[in-house]
Amino acid sequence: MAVVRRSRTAMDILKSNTGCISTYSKNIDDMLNGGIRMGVLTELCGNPGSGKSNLCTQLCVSVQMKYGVTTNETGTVIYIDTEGSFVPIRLQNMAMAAENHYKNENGNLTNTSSVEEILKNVIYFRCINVAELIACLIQLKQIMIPERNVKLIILDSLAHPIRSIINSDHLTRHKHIVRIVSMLQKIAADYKCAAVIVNHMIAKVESPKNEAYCAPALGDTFGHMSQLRLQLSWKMNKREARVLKSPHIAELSTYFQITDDGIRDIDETELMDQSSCNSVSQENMHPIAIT
Amino acid sequence: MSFISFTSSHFTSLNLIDNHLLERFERAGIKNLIDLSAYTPLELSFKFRLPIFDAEQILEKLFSTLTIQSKNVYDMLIQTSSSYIPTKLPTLNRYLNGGLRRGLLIELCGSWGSGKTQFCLHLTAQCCLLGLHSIYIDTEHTFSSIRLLNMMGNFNSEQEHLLELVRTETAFDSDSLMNILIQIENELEDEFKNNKLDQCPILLIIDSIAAPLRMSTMGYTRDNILLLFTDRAKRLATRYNLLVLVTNQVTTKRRSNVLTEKTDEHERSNTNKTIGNDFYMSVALGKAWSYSVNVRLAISYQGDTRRQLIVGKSIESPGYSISFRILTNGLEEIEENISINTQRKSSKKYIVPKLIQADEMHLIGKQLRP
Repeated sequence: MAVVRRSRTAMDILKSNTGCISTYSKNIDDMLNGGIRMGVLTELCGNPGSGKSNLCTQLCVSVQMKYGVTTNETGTVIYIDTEGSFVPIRLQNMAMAAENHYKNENGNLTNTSSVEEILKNVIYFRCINVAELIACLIQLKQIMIPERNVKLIILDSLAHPIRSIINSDHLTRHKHIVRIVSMLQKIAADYKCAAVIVNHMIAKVESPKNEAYCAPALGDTFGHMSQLRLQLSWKMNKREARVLKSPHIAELSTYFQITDDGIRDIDETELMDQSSCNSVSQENMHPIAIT
Repeated sequence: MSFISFTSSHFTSLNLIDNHLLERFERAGIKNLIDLSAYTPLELSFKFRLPIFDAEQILEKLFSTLTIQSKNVYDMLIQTSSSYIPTKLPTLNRYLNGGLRRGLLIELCGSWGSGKTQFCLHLTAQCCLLGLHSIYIDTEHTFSSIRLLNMMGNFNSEQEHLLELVRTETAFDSDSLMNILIQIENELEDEFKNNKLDQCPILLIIDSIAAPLRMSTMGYTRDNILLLFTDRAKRLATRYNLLVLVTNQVTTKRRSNVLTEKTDEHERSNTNKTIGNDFYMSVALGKAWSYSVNVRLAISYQGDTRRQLIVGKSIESPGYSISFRILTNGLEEIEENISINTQRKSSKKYIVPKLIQADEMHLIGKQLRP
């Protein structure tokens, strides 16, 4: 079985023009030079309540607005849910808001029932543990037929099933993570779709200084595997998105907000975030005096 | 599923791959699918000296036992929205987050002539318009097909065939009522097993529960029968996702001034004020029954055709009361307190919920003019 590989020059890659998926917040899109890239793995980490699942739901809508509503192809999304945190009504609200926004901007409709189309093109899988997750990924290979035109795969989240493996040690978790992520990477690269993995944060203690800080879960192995690592957090009553790792974007951070319509930009002149009043602000480094 | 051991009869009987290989897996420490999920095909081929193609196929076959159902979000929304039956009163639908929820035991009480049967008929009409089956158990001989047809809209033949979706039964006393319920449960069990889900009813109305109990049983056996009934009705509701609506009657209760401090000026007009005792009209069948129901709705009388629907007990919302009217074509909500506030963009009317005790509800009955 001979495997033929064609090599590409750097010019080919530059010209291949892989698309980006907008997050509907101009600040974040500018920071990411367009948005979430297709064909590579993106990681979203953050503390509970930072907006990861909301951002994933927003991406479901925005990828379809880009590929389905405006052009003639359909942009299907595969949403693999391991925590049960997906709410269909939220997707419906975001889809309606995006459709209204599109109608206001362009005046004409491409499809009168586009909200229905958006909802029908999101395929939802519910996986409880690692075995079901692997079974689901194996099943995906049969779903990724060209007519479906899958543009985005979301895994929300990877941390939950890995951390709930019974009787696991570091090595077993490591092996599971590598297996799942390499399968997902292969699918993303072969079919040129974006893959987003949601991760949790854990508290780590750095021993010489006895400082506790938050770091993404799943270990250093997983840290190497994604192309873009985006951290969502709360900084002084505002939601912040920060690039932790990327080969071609600087490590910037920017603010955004989550409204009823989805992810939007925050008005920089306003000091208070009026949409969600969460007064707890979590910072990355806080020294704990351990005596 | 994923924890079932490879060497158990479940897997060996499936005969997907060589059972000898499964035993080798077990000896190497891979006992179930969870352990197997850490291995790539390359690792498996090294460890068990298999060609890599075979290793891939083995993994695919073993994991195909765990088929994950996929659904698209549109179907998911339809599924959750089909767990409600919307009534014709929009405010009620909004407060109850969509309408009357299936899988619950809902009670509707009111004095005579207040419109309980009308409400039941209108709910049956809504169910017919959705194209789904319903069951109407009539104990007071007040069911009228013509009225049902009125509520569904027009008199054309298109709507008449929807009447076939309603199955009516009559019961005279509590024994026959329980027998009918047992029969319904058996039939639903059969339909469920044969997977004829679109033929299954979604609504079960018992109009009323108080009549057979009051006619034929003495006070002390009444509670036992009520408990049996509640048990049966709730089982029907949860297992077969039915909306069970039960109507209740009213009774006169005496409120002693010593125990209650509340002053309800609104309902005082119907009470007989004797010194030291107030009589008020309230829900029949006792206090224990109040705990059995999931949702309690009550209809109070307000005028000629005006009624007030009070939500006395509900998981979804506190006690709201909604005014409505009973007309020829059904129930219609009365819009009151329309605020002409042009500054506010959202048109949400904020009605302050009243604190209502579910077993002490004060109802107003029809007042006859002399």
